Amino acid sequence: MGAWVGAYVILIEVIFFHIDSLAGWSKGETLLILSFYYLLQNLSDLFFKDNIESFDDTVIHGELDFLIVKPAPTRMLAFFWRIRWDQVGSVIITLFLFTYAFQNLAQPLSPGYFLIGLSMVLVSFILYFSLLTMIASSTFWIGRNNSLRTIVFSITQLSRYPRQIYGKIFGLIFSSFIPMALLATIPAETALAQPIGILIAFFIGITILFSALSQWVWLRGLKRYSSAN
Amino acid sequence: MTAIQVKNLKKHFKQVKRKPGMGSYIKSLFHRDYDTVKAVHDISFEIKQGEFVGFVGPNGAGKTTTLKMLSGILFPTSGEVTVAGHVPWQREPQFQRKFSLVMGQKNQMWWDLPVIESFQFNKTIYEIPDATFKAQKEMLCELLDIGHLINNPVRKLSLGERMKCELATALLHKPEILFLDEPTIGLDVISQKRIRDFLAEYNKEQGATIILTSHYMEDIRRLCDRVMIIDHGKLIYDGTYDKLIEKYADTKMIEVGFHEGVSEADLKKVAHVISYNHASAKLSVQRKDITKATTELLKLPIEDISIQEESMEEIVREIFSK
Repeated sequence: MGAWVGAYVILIEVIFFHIDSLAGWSKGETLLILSFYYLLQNLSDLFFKDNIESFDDTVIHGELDFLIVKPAPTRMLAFFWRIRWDQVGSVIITLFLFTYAFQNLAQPLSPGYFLIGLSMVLVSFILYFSLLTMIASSTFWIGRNNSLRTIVFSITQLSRYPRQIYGKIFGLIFSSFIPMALLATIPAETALAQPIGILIAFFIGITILFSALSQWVWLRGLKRYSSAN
Repeated sequence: MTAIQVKNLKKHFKQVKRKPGMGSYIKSLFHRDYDTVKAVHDISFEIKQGEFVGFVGPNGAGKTTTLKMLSGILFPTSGEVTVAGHVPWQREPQFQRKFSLVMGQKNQMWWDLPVIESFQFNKTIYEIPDATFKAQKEMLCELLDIGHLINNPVRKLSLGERMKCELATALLHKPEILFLDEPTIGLDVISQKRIRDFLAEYNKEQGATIILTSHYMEDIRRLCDRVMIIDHGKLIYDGTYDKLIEKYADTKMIEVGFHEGVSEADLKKVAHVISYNHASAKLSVQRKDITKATTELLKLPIEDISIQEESMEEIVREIFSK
């Protein structure tokens, strides 16, 4: 992970060598978005990413059988089955990135707002989980999904940059229909104490909506589950 | 009291039909033809609490599909089922705490972790009280002789050891209904016997209702009061083991041993010879002719004689060949 983070930090350095702001975001603020992005990635790598990326194998090989019969929510068992404790170390790299972002900010962050920003990462975590499980649930309809890892990787890239760079049409798409652009930007905007009260309400609302939608898709998919011999 | 009730249960799978080759693949992107596979077709039965039922049939007969519907893994195409008073595919946690499913060909324990971790996981998931967990764990470790194995990673266990641990994991929460899908598959004779003895004991002691599918007819013969035979998704026999013998085994087998020259021709005059060597032979005799055949055989210089029912394998083979 360290190499990835390093590469993106260099990319941001190169971009800001030529410009002063990116869609209204300074270098330090953009690095803050990147820090929140990697924190979200650390949490998802730790808890559910592997399980989602290999979900087509789980379904095709009938490994869901023993999870369905357990008296616990099958979706949670399926996607939190293997926890990658070896990913904990990556959080240290993210902490270094946060420190670097703080050093590049024009003004120091208020600890209170930073904590609210961190709490927004938990909302992002739920939204990200809902979006990815909805994509993974497509396995129930299409069977083998060789592109699952690629789709998860590609869609995740959208949350790495400020939401404002996408302009009007794509901004609407990536903030409402596939709200990936909000995942790291909202926690960063909250930590920077930018006046976005309505946006936070929208973010929480859309998370509840996608959470309910992904559960609905999951239950519909589970009805189609045909196991394996 | 009825534990399981099944009425007109059907499970039909739609399968994509595609010819080999790239052209057929591209065509299937726009138009697909389907075949309907009738895995289970209109079966009905009732099982009383505490019954031990053998579910027999060739590969692809619909045994496992039926068990998967009874345990709520699969939704049926149509039909009604209640298991312990619940509709299985509603997947209510109260129902899921009442049964267990063990599949001989699938592993439900964590592969890289010690067996005890899977025990602990089930303790939490099934909300087993500490005292019950401790007592049940000790009882299962003793009955299955696995006390020395539970701290070993699952991947280090032999197939027989793993299956015993699978059974223990599945029984920790004292299920009142047990679905066993080929639990003795691939095991050596000693392991098969140990599991068989354990299941008989568990059924007797706990009064659990058990449905067992197995390709080893010895499992069925020794354990099950009742046998259900399924073929092509249809139930073709449902009754006691004895009645199955009566209905389908119209012959008995006589084994004879002799110490001096009895020719195969001599034996052929009495009965159909299944196998013959210089010291022993196996004969098949019509049930009604058994007295006459025995009398004739005793006139020959034979050392010992035993009369046996046809093996379960033979009977089932006979049924499916009709």
